Amino acid sequence: MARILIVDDDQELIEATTAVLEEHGHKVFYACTGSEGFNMAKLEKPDLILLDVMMEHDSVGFEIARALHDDEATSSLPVIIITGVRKAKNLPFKFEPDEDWLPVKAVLEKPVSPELLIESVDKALKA
Amino acid sequence: MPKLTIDGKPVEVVDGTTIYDAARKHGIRIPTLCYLESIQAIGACRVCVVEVEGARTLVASCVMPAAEGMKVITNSRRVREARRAVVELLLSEHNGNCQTCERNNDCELQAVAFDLGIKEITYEGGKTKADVDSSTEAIVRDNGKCIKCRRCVAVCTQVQKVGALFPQFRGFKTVIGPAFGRDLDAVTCIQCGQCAAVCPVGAIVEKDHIGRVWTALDDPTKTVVVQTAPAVRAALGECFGMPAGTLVTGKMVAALRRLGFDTVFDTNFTADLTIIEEGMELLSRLKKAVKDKKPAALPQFTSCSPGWIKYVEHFYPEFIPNLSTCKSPQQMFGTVAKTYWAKKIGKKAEDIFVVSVMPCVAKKYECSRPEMNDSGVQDVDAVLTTRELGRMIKQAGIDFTSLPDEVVDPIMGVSSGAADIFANTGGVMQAALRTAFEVITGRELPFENLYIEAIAGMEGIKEAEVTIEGTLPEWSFLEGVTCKFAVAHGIGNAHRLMENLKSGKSSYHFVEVMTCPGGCIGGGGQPRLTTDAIRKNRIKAIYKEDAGKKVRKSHENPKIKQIYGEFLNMPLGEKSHHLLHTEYVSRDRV
Repeated sequence: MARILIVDDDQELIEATTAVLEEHGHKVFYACTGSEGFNMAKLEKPDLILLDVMMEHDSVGFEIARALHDDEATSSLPVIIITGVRKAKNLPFKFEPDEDWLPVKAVLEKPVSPELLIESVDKALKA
Repeated sequence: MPKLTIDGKPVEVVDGTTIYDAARKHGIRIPTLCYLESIQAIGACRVCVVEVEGARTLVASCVMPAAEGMKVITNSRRVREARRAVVELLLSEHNGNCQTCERNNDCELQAVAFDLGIKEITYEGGKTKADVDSSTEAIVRDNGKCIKCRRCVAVCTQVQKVGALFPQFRGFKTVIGPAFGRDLDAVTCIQCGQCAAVCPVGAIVEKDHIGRVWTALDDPTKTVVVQTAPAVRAALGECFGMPAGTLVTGKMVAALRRLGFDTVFDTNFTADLTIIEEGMELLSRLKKAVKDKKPAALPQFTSCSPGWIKYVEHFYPEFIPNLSTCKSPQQMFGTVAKTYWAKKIGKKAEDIFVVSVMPCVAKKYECSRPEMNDSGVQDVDAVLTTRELGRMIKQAGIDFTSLPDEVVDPIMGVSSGAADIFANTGGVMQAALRTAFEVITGRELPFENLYIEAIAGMEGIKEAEVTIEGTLPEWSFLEGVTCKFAVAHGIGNAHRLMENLKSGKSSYHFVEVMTCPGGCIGGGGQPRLTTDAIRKNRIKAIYKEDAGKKVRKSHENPKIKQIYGEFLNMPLGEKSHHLLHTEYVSRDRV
C-alpha cells in the first residue's frame, strides 16, 4: 500500500482515480490546485504524486514538477503527469519526461485506462 | 551539330552553342567579366574575345555561335593583347582602391588582370566618380567601382523579375542603378542581394556588420549570442578553399567560440519552432475552410524569406493575408533569445546581443524592420553573411581548416533534420509535411527516408499533391481531401506562380517560396560565384546533414517540447502570437 497524492482541478477525475487506486489498496488524498498540491507534498511526503498540468494556468503542472524536484524536501518524490494538454491545445507532439525541464517518471495522456494507471503507478513506486 | 576546332582541337557542339560555352565544355578557359551561366551572354565586357579564322575582327566568344568548320584561336598574341587592352581600359576608369576594397583577393577584375599579366595601366583619363548609395539596410552600391558588366541588371530583371537596376546614359557616363538616379531604398528593391552575389568587383556589396559585431564581442557588459542558418554550414568552407558542399558544421562552431561568442546556438532550433507554428497555422486555415466552411486565406505562403516578403508587399499586396504570420527562424530566434533564454540566465533583453550568420543579405534588412522588437529591444542586433563570417575568421587569424569539430550549446542549439533542409528549395515544405501529415493521421509521412522527390531539385516551380486518408478522429474533416502544394525558388519563378494563381490557372493549399535560386544555399550572402553545380553540391550536403540527424522531424525535437512546456504554452497561443508572429505592410510599387 502506498500513500498517493492526486493534484488535479477535475473533481470527477479525482473521484474516479481514487476509486481505482483504493481498489488496489492505496491510500489517496488530493489537492485541487498546483500550489495547494505543492504545499501538501511538502507536508505529507506522499509515496507518489499524480499531477495534472492545466490548473491555475496552462502549464502550472510543469512548474510544480520542477519546483518539487528542486526542493530538498520533495526532490526524491516520484511524480507522474496525467494531462489532457495535448488535445486541449492541439499540440503536434506528446510531452515526455526530460531531465532538463520535466523531471517526472512518466507522462500519461487523459483519459488513462485503469490498467495503464495501475501499471504506471506500480512501475513508479518500484523505481 | 556543328563541328569546329578550338585551338586546333576538334569539337562538336549542339546548334546554338556559343564559342565560349563550347570552349568551356571542352576544358578551354576563356576569361570573362560579364558572362553568367544560363543568364547572361551579352558581350558587354569584351574580355572573352577570340580569333576566328576569316573574321575581320576579333569576336566576343560569349555571343558568337559556334558554326560548322569554324577555326577558333583563344590564345594568340592578338587575342592576349586585345584582352589586355580591354582590361587596362576598365582599370583606367575603375575607382578600385584594391587594398581597402572588400573584394580584395576576391575580385574577378583583379584576378583577370593578374592572369593577363597586366603590370601597369597604360591608359590615362577620367575615373568614374565614387558615388556610394548606402540607403538600404542590406546593400551598398558604389558606382565608382562599377565596370558596367550588367550582371546585376540581368539577375535583378531576368532572374528575380524585380527590375530595380538599369543601365542609364551612354559611354563613359553610363550608370547602372535605379531609374532616375534614385537611391535603392526609393525603389522596389527587395534587398535579396543577388546583385551583390554576381558583381565581379566591389561595386555592390552587403552592408558590413563586422564592426558592430567586434564592438559587441569586446563589450564586457554584453552577452553575445550567435545563431547560424543551416545553409551557412554547407558553404563557409569555400571561404577557406574547401570544395563546395563540404559540411563544416563542427569547425564553424569551433571558430565562433574562438571569435569570442559567449554562446553558440543554431537557427535550426527556431526553424523547428517555425514548423510547429506555421504547420499549425496551415491546419487551422484548412479547418476554417474545410470544416467551418468559412473564408480562409489559402494558399498559405511561407514567410521565412525576407526578400519574398518584401516582394509580396510591393508587387502583390492583395496576397498579404496569404502570407504565414510566422516570423522567420532568424527573427523567432532573436525574440526567444532575448525573452525565454535571457530569463533562464538571469539577464535582461538589453544585456544580450544577438548575432545572426546568414547566407542572406536581406536578413540585414529584415532585422531592422520596425516590427522586429517584440523582446522590447531590437530582437536581432547584427547579421553577418557567410562571406563576412569568413572574413572575421581570417581577421582573427584562426586557421579554419585545422579546427576540431565542436558542438553547439544546448537548448537553442538542438534541432532536427527537418530544420537543416530549410536551406534548400523545397525544404520548408518537406519539413512542414513531415509534421502536418503525422498530426493529421498519426502516421509518418509515407515517403522513403521522409524525402519527397517531387518538391526537391532545381526545377523553378515544383508541384505535388497528397490525398489525405486514414485521419485521426479530430482531423476527420480532412479525410479524402486532396491537398495541393507548390514550391518556387527565385523570385522570377515566384512571379510566374503568382500570375498563375491570380488568373486561376493554378490553385494550391500551401506554397513555399524562397527568394534566391536554389533556396538559401544560393543566397546573396554566400561565397561567390554561385553556379548551378555549386548549388547542387551544397544541397547534397544539406540532405546529408538531415539524414545524419537522430531526430528528423521538428515536432520530435525534445527542446521544442521544452520551450512550449516551460514558456510558450501552446502553438498559436497568446504568447506565441505576441513573440513569434508578425504583420506585413502594403508598399508602393514605384
